[in-house]
Amino acid sequence: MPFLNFSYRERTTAIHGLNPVVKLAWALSIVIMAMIIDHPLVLGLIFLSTVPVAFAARVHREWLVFIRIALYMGVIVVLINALASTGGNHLIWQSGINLPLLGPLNLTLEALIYGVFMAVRLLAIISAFAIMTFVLHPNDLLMVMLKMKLPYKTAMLTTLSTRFVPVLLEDAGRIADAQKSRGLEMDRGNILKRIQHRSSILLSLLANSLERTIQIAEAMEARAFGSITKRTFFHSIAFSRLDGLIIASFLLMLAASFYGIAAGLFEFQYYPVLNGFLMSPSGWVVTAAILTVLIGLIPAARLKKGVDFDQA
Amino acid sequence: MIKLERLTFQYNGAAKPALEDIYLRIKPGDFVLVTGPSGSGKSTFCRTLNGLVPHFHGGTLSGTIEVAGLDPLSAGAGVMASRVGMVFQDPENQMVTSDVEHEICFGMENLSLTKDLMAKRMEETLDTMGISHLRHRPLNELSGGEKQKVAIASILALHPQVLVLDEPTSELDPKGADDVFSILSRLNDELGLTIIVVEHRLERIIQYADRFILLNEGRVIIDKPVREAMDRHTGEILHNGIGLPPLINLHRLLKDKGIEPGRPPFTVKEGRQVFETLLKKALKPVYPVIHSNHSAPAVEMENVSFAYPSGMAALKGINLSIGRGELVVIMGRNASGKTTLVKQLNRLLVPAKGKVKILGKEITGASTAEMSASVGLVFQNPQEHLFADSVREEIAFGLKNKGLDGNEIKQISQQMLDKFGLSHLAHRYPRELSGGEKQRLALAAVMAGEPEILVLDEPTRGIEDRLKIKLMHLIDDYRHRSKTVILITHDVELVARFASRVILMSEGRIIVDGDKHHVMSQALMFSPQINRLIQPYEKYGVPADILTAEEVVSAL
Repeated sequence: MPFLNFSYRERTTAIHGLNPVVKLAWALSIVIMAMIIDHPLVLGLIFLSTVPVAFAARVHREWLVFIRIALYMGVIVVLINALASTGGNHLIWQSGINLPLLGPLNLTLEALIYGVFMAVRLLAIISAFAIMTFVLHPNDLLMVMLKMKLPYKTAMLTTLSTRFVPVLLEDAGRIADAQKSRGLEMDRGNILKRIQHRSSILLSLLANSLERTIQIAEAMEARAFGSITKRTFFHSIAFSRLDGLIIASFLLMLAASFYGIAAGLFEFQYYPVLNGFLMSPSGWVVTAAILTVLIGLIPAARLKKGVDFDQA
Repeated sequence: MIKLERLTFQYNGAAKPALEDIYLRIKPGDFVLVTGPSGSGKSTFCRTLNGLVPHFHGGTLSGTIEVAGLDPLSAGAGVMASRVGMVFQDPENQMVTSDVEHEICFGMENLSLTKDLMAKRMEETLDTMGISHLRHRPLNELSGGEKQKVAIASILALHPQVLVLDEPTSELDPKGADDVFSILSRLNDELGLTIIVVEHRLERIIQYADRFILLNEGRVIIDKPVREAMDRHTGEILHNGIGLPPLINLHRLLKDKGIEPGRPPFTVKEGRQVFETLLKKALKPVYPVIHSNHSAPAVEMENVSFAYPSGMAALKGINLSIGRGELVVIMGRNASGKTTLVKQLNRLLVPAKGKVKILGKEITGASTAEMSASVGLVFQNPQEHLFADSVREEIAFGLKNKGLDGNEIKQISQQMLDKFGLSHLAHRYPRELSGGEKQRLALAAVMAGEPEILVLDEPTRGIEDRLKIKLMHLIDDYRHRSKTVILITHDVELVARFASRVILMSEGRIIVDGDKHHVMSQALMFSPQINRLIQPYEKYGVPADILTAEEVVSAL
């Protein structure tokens, strides 16, 4: 599964050159808005705003892999919601079957739309996180976590585990090759047999990683890890005025969306009948403001040109 | 500066001590070579010097240790880190960040150095190691040799007084290993750094070392200046399962024949100085005739090409025929296509173009597991092959797959257990075995099924001479029952001793394919030491295809 490599991609794009705090703030803002905003149209637009960022960072090929997986997951969400939800007045299809606990198995337009809305929410969150991990260097992530006053050991552990994802994937591939060569059938036979055989890969992988872990711990100890509580840092994150401006605009955007929700501008009703597709003019104004900030990240990143003397 | 007295150490739960009554003194600036068979206590010895034993691993230690004026026992691994630097076997498992600069900083930051001091040491370390061009490179893009240099740099930045390296080149190819050792010799020579290296392939390192220590079963067996050890203790070294460098072996063989060749040579150039008059008189050697009956081909490849999904062409038009009963060695640099080639034989990879025939039939549509009945593939890490609950079941698996009945399975399993010396472990859980035992088990499990074609990918990496020779005898035995054996290896000296046909690959192509005397002579990286020794004497009529010390002796 080498395509499922969820780790940093070295590129020299303006997006990669952004301050790591900005990258993290961008992804977090999208996740927060995706969680609180209930209007399907606004949510859809927020998701769409991540697409040009993926292209600008030239990680769209890797990103698409994850979007595809998110889409499969989305389809499942839609199906489950459509079948399990009993709300909604517009019947599309009636099975006539009465399920225990869930009631009649019916498909309504409202349940379908609600499922789609949940899927878009998922898509927006996965998209933002995928892009962030592709453009945020693990070392930078470590620095950001330290800036956020997380304990060093916790932060170190997190970045260390991201470093070993590709190593583990490689290990898994090699183990599968070795065991297939021994005569273990991985891709044929009934489901039970397959699961059994795949679990033997996991066991080997576990044994391998346990050995790795001990060796790494030893190597860290031999380099005085944790021996002095007050650690120093060679690299640091430098903030430019532009970085401050971008982060301020994110905060404003979050404030605007909170205001939009409080003022009922993004109100949308799913059950029993859909209501609220047409937003009020002030709703559109707030949405436009949010999108301006999100898309504005790309030209803002490009403003940072010339020689960068601050970044360590 | 390093003083060990009556040092005895035992791991918790171990039946006997890992180190017993060690008495050693090492002067500042010494380059010490520590060797010994696996399980001899080499790694434990290294770890006592910086306190990892017993602080990290646990166990009971008695006697006294003093390193750089400190007692590692009371100082602990953290404090010792700034005095004793330690580099480990697998470069992959000692890197904790993702690029070179951060990696070098890691230890310095842990020691709480100021930013200015770190900046200064960064520059000097990068220059000393000659890796300043790698400074901003991500670690996963580096070669094994480069990674190991970064590991050494990250230790050097802490300004240790002693550098301890535990088999630092066992995961590297010959070129990477040479790079690492020549850097070590410079650090020792120019900076006066005390260096202690654990290594069992002596030919790579004796020229740099001052002192030779051989451990076995936790005790110091030999502790002598290298020159003396290589002159007067060769019998003892061999007896302890460690192979001699070919030049030293030649020196020893000549002495045994009553010829007094002078001092033991450490480098090829020294060898020429020592053996010159003798070598000029060399005649055609008697090569042992290797019998093989390859009437029918076992493996045929016709114009096979293969590319990985990344678009890299890994095989380009391979044509190859290997007969039944043949032993064929495939050599080549890393990423030259060796492993990709053998993976075509059991359909782990499927050629993009061309035909692969096994035992005369083109293989299409079969799964790798189905191919395992006729093609047995064993990769480098034996652990990755094991999946059964006991050693016996591991061996029985292939036999069950072949459809043998219960009695036959029992009988053959027992035979294999006896032959590979695993009978006493029959009921143990395979993953609990030692490295050497796992390797024997992986091999036994594949060989039990008697595949017509046996492929071994780097089976001798990291194992000592005695086990290598055992393995080669097992392979030879297998081959004499008209089975085909294909061996991928970097080990030039092993090939010189045991192979007959050698294939050299580069960039997805077969460059040469022929007898080892033809393929391995008159090159640099792929010629064994003895061949490099005799190359300049060709003009005196010395056959230029001599590969081993034994052949030289037979030619005199």
